[in-house]
Amino acid sequence: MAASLTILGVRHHGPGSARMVAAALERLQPDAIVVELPADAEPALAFGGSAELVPPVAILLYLEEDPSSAIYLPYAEFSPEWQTLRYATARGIPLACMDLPFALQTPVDGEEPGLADAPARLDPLEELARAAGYDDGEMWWERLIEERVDEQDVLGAFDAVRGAMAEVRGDCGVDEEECLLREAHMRKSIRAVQREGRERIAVVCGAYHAPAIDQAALKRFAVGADNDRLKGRKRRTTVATWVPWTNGRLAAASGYRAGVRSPGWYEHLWLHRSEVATHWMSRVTRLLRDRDLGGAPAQAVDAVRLAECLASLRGRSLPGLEEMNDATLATLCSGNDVPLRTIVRELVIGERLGAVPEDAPTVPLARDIARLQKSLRLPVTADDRELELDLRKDNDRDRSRLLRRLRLLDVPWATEPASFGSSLGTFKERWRLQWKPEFAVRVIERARFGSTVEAAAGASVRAEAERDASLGDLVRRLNDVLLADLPIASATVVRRIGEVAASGSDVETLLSAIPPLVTVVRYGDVRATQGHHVMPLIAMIVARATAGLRPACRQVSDDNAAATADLLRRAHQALVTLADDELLESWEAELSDVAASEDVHGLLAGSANRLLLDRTRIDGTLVGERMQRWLSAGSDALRGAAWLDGFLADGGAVLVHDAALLALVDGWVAGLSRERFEAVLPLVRRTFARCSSGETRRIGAAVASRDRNPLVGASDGYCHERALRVLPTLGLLLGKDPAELLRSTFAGSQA
Amino acid sequence: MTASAAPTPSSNDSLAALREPAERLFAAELAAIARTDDRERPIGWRLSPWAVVRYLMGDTLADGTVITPKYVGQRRRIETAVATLATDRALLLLGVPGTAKSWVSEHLAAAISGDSTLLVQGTAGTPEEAVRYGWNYALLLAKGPTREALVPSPMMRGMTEGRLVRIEELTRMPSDVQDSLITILSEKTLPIPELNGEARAVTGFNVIATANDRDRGVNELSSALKRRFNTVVLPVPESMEEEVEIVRSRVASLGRALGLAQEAPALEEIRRVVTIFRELREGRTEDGKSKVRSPSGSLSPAEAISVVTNGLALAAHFGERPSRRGGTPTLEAHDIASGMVGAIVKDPVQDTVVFREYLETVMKERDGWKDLYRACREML
Repeated sequence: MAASLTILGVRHHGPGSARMVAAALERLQPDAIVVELPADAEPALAFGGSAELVPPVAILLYLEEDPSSAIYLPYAEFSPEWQTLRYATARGIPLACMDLPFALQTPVDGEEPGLADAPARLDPLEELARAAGYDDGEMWWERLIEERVDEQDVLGAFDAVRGAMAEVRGDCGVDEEECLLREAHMRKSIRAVQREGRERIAVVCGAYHAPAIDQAALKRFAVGADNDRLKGRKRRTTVATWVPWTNGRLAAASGYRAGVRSPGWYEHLWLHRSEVATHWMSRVTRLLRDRDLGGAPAQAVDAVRLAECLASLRGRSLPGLEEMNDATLATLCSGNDVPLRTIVRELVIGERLGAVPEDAPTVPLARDIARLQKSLRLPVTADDRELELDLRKDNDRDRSRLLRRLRLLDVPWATEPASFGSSLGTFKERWRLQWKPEFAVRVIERARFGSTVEAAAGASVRAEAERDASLGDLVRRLNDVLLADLPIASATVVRRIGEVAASGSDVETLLSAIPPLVTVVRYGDVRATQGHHVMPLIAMIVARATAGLRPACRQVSDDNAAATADLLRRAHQALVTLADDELLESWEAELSDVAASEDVHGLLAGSANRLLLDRTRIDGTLVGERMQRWLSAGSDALRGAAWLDGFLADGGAVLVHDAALLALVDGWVAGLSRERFEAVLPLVRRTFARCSSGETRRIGAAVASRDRNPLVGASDGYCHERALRVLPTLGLLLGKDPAELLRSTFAGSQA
Repeated sequence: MTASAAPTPSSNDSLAALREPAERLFAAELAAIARTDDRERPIGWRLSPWAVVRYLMGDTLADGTVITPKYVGQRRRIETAVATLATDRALLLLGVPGTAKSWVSEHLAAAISGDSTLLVQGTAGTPEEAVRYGWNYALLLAKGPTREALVPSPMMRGMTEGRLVRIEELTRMPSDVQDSLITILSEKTLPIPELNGEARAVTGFNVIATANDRDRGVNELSSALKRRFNTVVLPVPESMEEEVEIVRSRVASLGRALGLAQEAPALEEIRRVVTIFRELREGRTEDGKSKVRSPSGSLSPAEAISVVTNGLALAAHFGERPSRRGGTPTLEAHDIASGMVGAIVKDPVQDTVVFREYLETVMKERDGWKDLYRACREML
């Protein structure tokens, strides 16, 4: 065959590779181009010339019947494949996809969609890099191939890459079956293009495959053997579409295995061919200045010089990202990596979001939602309506799960009606459904988290949980996630709760986390599979809360004391209901310390005593002694009143039943001087106002019966002493003896 | 952080100096590197930047000479420091106390200028003369202001001789003295108005300053001065192994100096102390499974060293001997507990809470740590 076949082995997403490919294509002027893309991605290439398609974008391939089997093939401006696509569509050159169709590939399971490229492909690069004394294959490739290639000899460079790869592959031994299969398909596709009679064929593929698909390989591998290898694979229907991608998702950090660590740096290399360091540093200083973090232009000059000096010290011809970061840190940030970290995302990764044409097919998440809506008989309507679910029915439980997952995806199709209280433990759920048009946009936006509702909700919860720093938010989220039945995500939330609870949460926050967690353990999960993850968490939070309890009770201000006492009570009740003996014992031991100490806030000491008394951990005599101390004349009356307030916060019945305590309170009130009485009156009044009217009446009656002196303690506003004063005047007016009047009055009142 | 055994001082002095400068202690290593160093040396430098990095990080030369590592940690930090000195910006080494800032600065000066003795110590009372010049008043009175009557500071000598000058604890200096460095660093000249002249710096001159960013009561650098420095932060050691090695080697050499009998199993105790310090400092356990709160102290390797040394001293003088005939006393948990509590609990209220939390949630659960847990519990 007279036709020429040129293999352009590249590194995916290498700006240097992209430049080399562009230059090579210009020189070759091919009449057909073959790229390493799954063959069933070809329909998506029709949009390749569209001006509305702006990288970073990804080709999304998924199985029609099961959108969770999907792969993304992301491209940035500096991807060789993207340059090839633009070159081919601009000139109308036919572009063929040669890789094994996704329909034939072994499906990948999991919440994250499978991403193209096996990690195995990087290994030979690592081998070559190690041989050359680099500890990182990517860096070796960048330094030795992409930064050094002379464009005049670009085709020679591709030949050299192919040769090197052939060597390495020889050493690495046998490839995985999947890889052999893919290469068989590649050869088959290339042969097909050759049969069409094309003269100059260019093949753009990962460098690793180059030696397996060149002219020699086409001869070496028999056509029949390749066809046999591909036989007998079940073919399924796939859909190819474009989705917007972000540089953040392009970065290796987000789990995309053939990703790059620093898309922003590569984009920079792509845009600026000379004076790379100068342009980079001016970008750094601009970003720093935007955030008021310094960054004088004069310092940029110094930073460039330091970067260049470092590069030469490390034996590199040009400073790389590593040198740039070291120089930025030393020169512009005074060694403090906080400013650098605030700009590093934008700088190194770049916050760019791609765009796709409007007529491109829809995302799998939207399809999955539509599928579920159909199968669960939950039609989409624009008007709002109420829906009552009986969780004992399978269909209703699935519906509830879908609605809750969509809520976690920030698609609040279902909202809780106002009347819907915290009726946990019942089998009923009531929702208000209203679908809004903007949800469609949100679904596409959320599609980046996964292609099914379950996967996307899980991934988005995990992403948000990593950001959440407030214990309260996380605990609330845990409840939502458990109800939405997302086990992996709930494990993440549980881990985050542990982390956040450990790092500098104050005692109040820790206490407030206990009741909802206990609720989760007791009711939250219908299937009782998650409880055992949460128990150690509760134990840890209780341990931390108790360690800091006494200092916290000591430092609390008057303003916050009531809230803290409330938290203390709720946490206590939760632990009592949880009924874990060991936990309860350590908690009550600490509570006893608070109850016994006299330097804590009165409200808290009072509450602690009451809680322990109710649990019969201490007896009335001990409480009586403590009350006496707090209410004794020597101590501040306001603190005493606060103690009483805390002690009686859960109702005053205790005073009815314990005459000794009542006597103490009574004696205290009676013994207060006028000024002190006025000072504590509002507080004490509020304390007793909280008791139920029945309780106050019974307390009043108890006081009255305890002390029969009719001159004291009349509760109806009648004051006997004052009444006596009017008697002489009355006697004068009526002409009677006051003593007799008194007798007759008493006789009347008793009648 | 020394990972090197202290070489024996030159033996011909009947009374050895208590501490020799680095260029004399490591003269053999420096000479060996200079022989093999074939890379380009900046003007005024004894070694090429590449060789300086090798000297600090340790290596084995082609001729078999072993260069001991002077700094245990990230290579790129030392590379940045050396590259800075090769440009005309000054170097500021920043870090919490006990992270080998002065040690690195001394070795840099020794390797680059062959002289680490041009030193200005920053204190609250450092006068301006310490960075400029003073006068020999007898000569000044007798002859008036002349070159002979002028007493140059280490800074001025470094400038005229083209060598590195070290400033220790830059942030302790009064601000006005700090700011007199600005002209020296940016114009590379020191005006002498009394003589109507100036001292000009020659190639090879540069400044290495150290400062710690944790101390209270320091004089923050003015932004004008800050801009003239490249800052390299020397962090606390990254890996457990590095830190254990640093503590072990320093404890060994200190223990020898104090005449403390000791034995090998102390390594296990060192590992525990370092683990506790690291976990508290970094706010999470070594296995990364749970977070812990950090106390207010810096908990540097230097403090770990003193806790272990202190424990060794306690064990040596008061500890129980394993047998009646004597033998070496072993380092027990209670020997290090007191030192450790002292190092961790700097703020009696907050730090006690933090440490108690740590004791209850981390130490209590750990296998084989019961003795240490109890010992610490008793101290609180």
